[in-house]
Amino acid sequence: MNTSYFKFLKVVVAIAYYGLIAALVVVIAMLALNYVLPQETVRFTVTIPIQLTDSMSFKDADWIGNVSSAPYSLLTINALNPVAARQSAGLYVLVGLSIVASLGFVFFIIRLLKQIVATLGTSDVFSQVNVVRIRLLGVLLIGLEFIKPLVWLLIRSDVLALMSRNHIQHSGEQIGFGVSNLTFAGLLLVGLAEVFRSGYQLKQESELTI
Amino acid sequence: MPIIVNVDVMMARRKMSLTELADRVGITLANLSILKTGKAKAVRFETLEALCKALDCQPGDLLEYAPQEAEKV
Repeated sequence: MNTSYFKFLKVVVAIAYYGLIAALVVVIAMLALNYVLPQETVRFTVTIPIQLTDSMSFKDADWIGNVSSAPYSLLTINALNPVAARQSAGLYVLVGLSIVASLGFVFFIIRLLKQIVATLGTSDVFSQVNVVRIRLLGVLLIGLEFIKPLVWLLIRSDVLALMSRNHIQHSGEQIGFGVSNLTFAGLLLVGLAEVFRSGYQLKQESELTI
Repeated sequence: MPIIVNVDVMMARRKMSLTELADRVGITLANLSILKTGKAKAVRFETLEALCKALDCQPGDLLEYAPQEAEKV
């Protein structure tokens, strides 16, 4: 057994795990602080599934928005005075919560990976609990695909109102759940979980062969 | 499992302890216990041979097929 490789893998996953915990704590703290403390200006960026005619930037009394045109557009919202900051608070909270939810999802995935990697090199690699973990990992990867559309459903009315207020023209809205590499990776893992289950059954049979 | 392992019966007939049989057969006490309690999924021919040799019996004395048990399952 290649124990040095296992150790390396465990260290890499542990770094990702604890790094993600730190990131999650920092993001939650920043979001909470920005929301609780009175802000003169608010600035945040959100990805929206809206096709805009071309790249643009606009400016009026309350807002400066920089929008890049693509199938998924990046909208930077700058509220330059307290009134505009208060107006954008709801959207800010929704976007913040979606970031925390995404990070939480990724955290849960890394946590599962850490638990699986921890069993490498031991006799518990092929176990029922690892079968469940791998299947859950696949389901979570597929679930990641649903976060963006769900977030858009949550913030859609606020963003469209904001764009309408600032006369931003858009040509199309891409709603729906796309199939990406993540979905295929998730399906692969769900299939791999069944292979693992067979491995677990073989291991059990081997252990109970006298 | 419709296969009943009668190792304990043969051990009693030969007045042999679990430890002694494990020593003679060359398997661990834990594995012999798994076999005796019917939890084993399979028995290797070499284990069966060693058991028959140690207990001076035939494989049929150690294993029994019980159709009623099979129906219950």
